[in-house]
Amino acid sequence: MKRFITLLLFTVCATGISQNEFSITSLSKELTTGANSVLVDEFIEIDLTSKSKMHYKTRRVVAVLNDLGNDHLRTSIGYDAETRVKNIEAFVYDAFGNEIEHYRKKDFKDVSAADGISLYSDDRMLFLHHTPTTYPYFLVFESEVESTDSAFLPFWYPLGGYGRSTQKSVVKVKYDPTNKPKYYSLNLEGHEIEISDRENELVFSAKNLKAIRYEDHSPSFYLLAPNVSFALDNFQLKGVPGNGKNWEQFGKWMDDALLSDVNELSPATVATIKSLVANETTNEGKARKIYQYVQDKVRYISVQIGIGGWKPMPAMDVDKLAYGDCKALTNYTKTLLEVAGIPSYYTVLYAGDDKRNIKSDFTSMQGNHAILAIPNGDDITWLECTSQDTPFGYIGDFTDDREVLMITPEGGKIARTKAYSTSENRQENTAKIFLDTNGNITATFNSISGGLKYDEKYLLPKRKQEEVEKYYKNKWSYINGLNIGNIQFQNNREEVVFTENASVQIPGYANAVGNDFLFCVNIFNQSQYVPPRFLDRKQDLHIHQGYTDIDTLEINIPEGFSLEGLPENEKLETKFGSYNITFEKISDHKLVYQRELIINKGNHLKEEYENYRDFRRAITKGDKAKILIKNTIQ
Amino acid sequence: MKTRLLSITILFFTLQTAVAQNFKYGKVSEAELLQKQHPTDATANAAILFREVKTNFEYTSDSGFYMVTDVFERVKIYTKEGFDWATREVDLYQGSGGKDDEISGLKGVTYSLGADGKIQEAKLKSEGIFDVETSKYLNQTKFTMPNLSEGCVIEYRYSIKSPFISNIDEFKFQERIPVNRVEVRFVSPEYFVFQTHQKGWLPYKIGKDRRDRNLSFSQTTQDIGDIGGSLPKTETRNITFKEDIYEINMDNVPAMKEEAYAGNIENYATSLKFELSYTDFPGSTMQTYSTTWEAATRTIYNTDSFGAELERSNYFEKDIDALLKGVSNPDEKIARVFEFVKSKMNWNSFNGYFTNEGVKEAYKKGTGNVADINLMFVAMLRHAGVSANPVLISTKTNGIPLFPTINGFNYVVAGVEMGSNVILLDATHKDSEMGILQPKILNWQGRIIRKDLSSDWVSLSPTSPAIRDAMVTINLAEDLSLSGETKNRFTGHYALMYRDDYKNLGELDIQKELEKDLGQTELSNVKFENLKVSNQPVSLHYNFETIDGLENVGGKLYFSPMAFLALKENPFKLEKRDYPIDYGYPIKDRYLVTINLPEGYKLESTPENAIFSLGENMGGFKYMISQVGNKLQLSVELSINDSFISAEDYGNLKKFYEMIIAKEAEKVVLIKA
Repeated sequence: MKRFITLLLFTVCATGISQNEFSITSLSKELTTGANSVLVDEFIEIDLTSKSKMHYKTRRVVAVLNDLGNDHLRTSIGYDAETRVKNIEAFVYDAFGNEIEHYRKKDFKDVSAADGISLYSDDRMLFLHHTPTTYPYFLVFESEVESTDSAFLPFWYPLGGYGRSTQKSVVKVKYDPTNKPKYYSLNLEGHEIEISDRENELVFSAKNLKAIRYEDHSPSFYLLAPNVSFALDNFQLKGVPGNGKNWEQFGKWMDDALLSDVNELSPATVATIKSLVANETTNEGKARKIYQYVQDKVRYISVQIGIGGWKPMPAMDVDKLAYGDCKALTNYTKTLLEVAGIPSYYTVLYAGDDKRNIKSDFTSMQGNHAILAIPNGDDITWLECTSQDTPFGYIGDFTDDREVLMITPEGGKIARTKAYSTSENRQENTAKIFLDTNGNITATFNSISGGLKYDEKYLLPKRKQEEVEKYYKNKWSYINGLNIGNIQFQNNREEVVFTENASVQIPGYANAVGNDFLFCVNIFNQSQYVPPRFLDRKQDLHIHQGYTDIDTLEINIPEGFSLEGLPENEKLETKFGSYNITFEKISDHKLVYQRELIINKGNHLKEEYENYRDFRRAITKGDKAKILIKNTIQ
Repeated sequence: MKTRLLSITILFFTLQTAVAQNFKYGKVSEAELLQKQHPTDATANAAILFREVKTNFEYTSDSGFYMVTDVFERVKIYTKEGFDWATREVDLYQGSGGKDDEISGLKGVTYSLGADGKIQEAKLKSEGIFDVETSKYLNQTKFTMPNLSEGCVIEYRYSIKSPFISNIDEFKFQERIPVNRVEVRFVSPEYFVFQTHQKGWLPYKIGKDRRDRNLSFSQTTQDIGDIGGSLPKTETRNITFKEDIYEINMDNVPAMKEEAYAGNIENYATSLKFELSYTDFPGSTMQTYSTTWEAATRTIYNTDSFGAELERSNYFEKDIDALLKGVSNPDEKIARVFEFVKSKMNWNSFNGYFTNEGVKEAYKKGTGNVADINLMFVAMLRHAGVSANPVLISTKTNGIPLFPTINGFNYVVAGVEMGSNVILLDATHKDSEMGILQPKILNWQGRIIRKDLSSDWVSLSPTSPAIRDAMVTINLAEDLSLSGETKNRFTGHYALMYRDDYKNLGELDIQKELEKDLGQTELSNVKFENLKVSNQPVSLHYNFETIDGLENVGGKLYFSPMAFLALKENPFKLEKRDYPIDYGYPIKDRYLVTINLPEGYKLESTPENAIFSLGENMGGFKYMISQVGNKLQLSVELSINDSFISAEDYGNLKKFYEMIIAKEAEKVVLIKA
């Protein structure tokens, strides 16, 4: 009898790894085209039926077609005090289905999963280092994880990234009907994806997803590829029960569980703050003083331990240690503002320059950063509390223009951070240029930047002289042999305006042709960028940021030379922006060049991409416009 | 005379007060807190006011000798940018069998001046201390000081107990911030004989002394011979021996400056390394660790996972004999074995000159680290009757080995000696060719070690250049467009580079990558050959079109005859440089351009021919242009003959590139016929 059972088990195993699963020839051409790997078969089971524990099982078969596909194996699992990895193993098969390797848990490396920014994090990770001996090959990854946390449920990304395709991927969520998970899906349409919402079970299955190629100026991957997020109305976070059917409730829970007991201060600090703002009459004046106080006092240090990954360190501790992470510093600033009678809201969001929104119609734990919102009539002033240099109310492209979650006394509220407009993101260059008879130029250069252009520059004064010089040499890399001196910066933090002044010498700038010179007029802002060509573009055109560049150059040529062959003025108007250059001869020896480039942010159909390329090409061409400076002494 | 005497006295007196600081833990002065900027380096964000590192040896009967190192530092922080100096990481190496580094007694205080002018103290507490298991071999203790403000002074101290006597971290005297005073004291029992290696450009003296040391320890013994068994006896034993004392004190060590293209500037920091050369305990034989390059090399060779692995051959004999059946030409033998190992073995991305799994197991699995693969390769060549030997190398990230140590190396390749020449081969890289090593390991020189244990330095710098040969045809059209075709041929390191970058890319990605920096120019009919076949030049063909490739200024047409192939950006931007420029290998770029002039135009002027040379024979540039009927013929050649160019020649090199860029930007002028 015993023997029979073993035999039976053996048969089950054998079917489990059936031969035809590992056959490259059975993969359709459609799936291998443009792919470095194919997700042959993936099955994920998220079991939420137990109140106390979430079970998460994965079996994934990946065919790796070449060495660029090695990064697509996803053979790592993160864990922490609440999460136990019950099983993790992997099998490798060659193209003919012969097993060549079996990795067990002990073969996986166990390392700290600190993100590189944090000084300390208690997150850990198991990962596999596999050296392929042949291509193509198959890797089967199996894992089983058990966690008491259910605030974050795994995402389903049937297409894991660019350059990979999927034959089949299924996610099954088993649940307790009294706490049914909700889901949020993106881009499921237009694919072979089925949803079945049966009693106690939610199943998504995808088939035959073709590989997506990375194309410049397209929306972020998660906005293109099919994906589903899950969340529970009642969940556990590091041993703390949480709930939220809607943002209002969810915000109340966050306030209660994470923020309510971290806002005490010592009487001495309260007194300090009161006296600090005593002479200020307006809320803004007080808030500015307090923000400056925080910037002077604290520094950013990230430590993520247990619930501390979600709950701010108490304000009292920040006061004492003078450091903290984004949560701690935001909460600290909020607590200090309260002392001065200024209400403010702890705000959760996704940081980064891809302007990712909190999904406003999907109440759940989201975001990776915290900032502070000060209501100001109908307006909101946003404070980035981790920086010691950012001006009051300035947020830059790290947190601008996106939906965020504010935790107000009335519960959670979705708001939008400040969007910097095309005209605000402004750089104005002015320069006076003198050409000598040998083709050398000397110039005085001035530049004023605001909006997001300020963001690119306001930390320049903190860099060393050499690095600042390198900054300019890289910025003007199209100039051969450049000397820059007398660099002076003015950082007007009140108005958020940054001013640069410098003197520039460029030996041999004018191109000698016989006795004459060819002179490229746009010296300080030549556009070198033409978007790459995509013969069969699939994605829409996404222009991420709008801005305005204005250049005004006064060019003085020496006696004995005359201005000839002035290029035509040029004016381009497109939906992507406009480009306007004028050449005006003021006198025999003086020319004024003006250039205005406006780029609008926006989304356009993929068919417009070629037009956008044409526009950028016309700009690079216009920026190379040359005048002939003729030697009149023959 | 009198005034002179006076000034000397005053100077002496000031110096005295400046030095008269109290470097005891906890004795931070108000003057230190009040200082607004560093007296000799106004750009410093922070400074080490005092660093003290003291190492002593202790002994217990259980663990034998081990080292105890006490570290104490006082750091002044001038600006917010200096706050990073208040977060420190201490590496604690983890050995096998409980042989680990341990930290103890970590304490720290931040001192600042309060509004009332009084000194305030904030102690480092457990909330600011973190123990991290970084990997199996390394734990780290990280700490960050509390309550920082501009102008504050921090102090911390700790002790590290370490059993790793043969592998001691170097003592650093120089940092990226000024070090006002550093004191190092290293005291070791006479049984351990160390060699000291000084690094960096600041001179310092090592004070040496000897003293007697009495060491008592408890030892538990049990007399087994005693029938019935006696109780174990614990007794205190005393031994007396001599100790060597090394002392180094340095004052006012300037900050290291960041430099472009310098790589790892830590390689240049002033520091001292203690290397265990041998141990000599009374009553046991002397054990040598390393003293000279010969000895270090021998130590490596005599280790089982090196020398013994080279001796093994039974695991591959059958395969190699079959592979070489009927082959007698040694070159052919080398080529066959090289191709065989490259295709059979797969590098697991780990470096090292000791085998990991062992050659036999690696051979079976088809994967291995650098030593697994290349030692196996050497053994196979030897089996085939080729005079092959391992060559030890330090990769660029590992730094240039400055003094003899077995840790000076981290890589091994095969060297085939032919007369006085050594041909280097690396079978870990699928695309490598004979004599072409990857740039990451082209680091100055390697050490060849032969069966008879003799060893020599071998230069790693290639003598033959990487060559690019480009044949270009350009057709100019009246509509200002420029089109044509290019046939490129790449050899040596260029071929390796193209294989690495393009081998796995699809057609569309190849096109995108090639067009990346071409601006207005678009390519078509892009075709690579031999990307997947080594030992052949890589060839690249394409057609191109540049709309608006010509410029019409005042009715004349202007264009640069090198078109989009011209060098546009000088790789050398900074005015001066202190470290040498490493090209890796010599290069030779040759362009032969034929330009067909448009109908209805004639030539007004062309740039002049030019020849520039760099130094005596370091490099050269040749630009020759001539008219042949309705065509222009242009020949351009750029060569850099030395892999290394010294820092003194930096100015010339920068100028050389400026002249090339200016020359290649010069215009041909056409007028209406």
